[in-house]
Amino acid sequence: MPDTIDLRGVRCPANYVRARLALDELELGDEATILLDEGEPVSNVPRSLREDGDTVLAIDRRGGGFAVLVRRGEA
Amino acid sequence: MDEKTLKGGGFIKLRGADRWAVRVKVLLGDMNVAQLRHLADIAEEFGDGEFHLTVRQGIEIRGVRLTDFDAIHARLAEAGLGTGSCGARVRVPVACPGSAVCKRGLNDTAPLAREIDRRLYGRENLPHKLKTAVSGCSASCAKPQGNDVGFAGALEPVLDERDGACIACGLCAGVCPSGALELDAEGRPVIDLARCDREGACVNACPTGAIGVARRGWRVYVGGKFGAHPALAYEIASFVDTSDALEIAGRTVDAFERLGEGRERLRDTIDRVGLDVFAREVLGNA
Repeated sequence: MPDTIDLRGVRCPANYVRARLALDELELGDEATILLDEGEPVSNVPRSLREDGDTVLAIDRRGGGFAVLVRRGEA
Repeated sequence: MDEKTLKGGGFIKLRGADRWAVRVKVLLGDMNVAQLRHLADIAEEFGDGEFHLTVRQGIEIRGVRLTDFDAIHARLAEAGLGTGSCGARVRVPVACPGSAVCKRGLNDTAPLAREIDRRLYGRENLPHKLKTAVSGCSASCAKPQGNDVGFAGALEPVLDERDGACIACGLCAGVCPSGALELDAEGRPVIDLARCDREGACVNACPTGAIGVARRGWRVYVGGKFGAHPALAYEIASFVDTSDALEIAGRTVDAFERLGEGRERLRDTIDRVGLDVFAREVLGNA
């Protein structure tokens, strides 16, 4: 079961910063689930993580927001 | 030299005896450290110690004297700098940083802004000033709709149909502002280009890069202005490439020179002759 990083209620760009810091704690290739609010957070954060070199594996609706499954890559 | 000539050379009369400002041209709002240092040296030598940042990305050196007109021009040229135009001329384009810097930006604004500047900057014999602006996307931070000629970056999206490219997350359908994107039974996007406003929201939101760019282009506006009676521009072309955008800009200035009367802004000319007539002049058979 991958780590879950709950960033619901955290606004841009703080949500991205916290996602980045949390992912940087992982080993390359490890996966984590990030919970994000609908709207700006889910349309911005996954894209930014991809630009950092991570891979977005899946995005599903969960609990009024979205669960984003990410595999840590190399920047 | 009369005041008009001086304004053409970027000298603006301020309140007070022999008190002038020199307007320095800062294309795209970009300067390097050496230029800014050099500018500080010039201001220290010739000005009263103050700078002013204009609303159109220029810098003015305050409190210079008329007798230093030639010396200031020569000193600016040493750092590759020049003066900005004033009066009834084509002004320095305003531009946002565009896709080279901005995460939302769709197009690079520098090539278009630089070419507009190279071809049209300072043109005279116009009824009034003519302002241009280049925005990298429809967010319109450079206010292209508030300028005589404006451009907003746009793009045509395309889906990478290869297996695994799209993870069927559906974010694209949620962000499309024009209702041009629906999801198929597998949750993959189907893009209706006939309804697409080319704002690039789907490309920007796609977390895997499966929605990419087929073509980039520009939405073109004419006739926007502020002043005492502000008016938003007319959209004259919805998606043209950079070469056509430049052609339209050039023809618009030509048409303003040919059709303009008295001291009117481009907007007044367009409304007097009619948008359809003006569009034919500017677009030709394009």
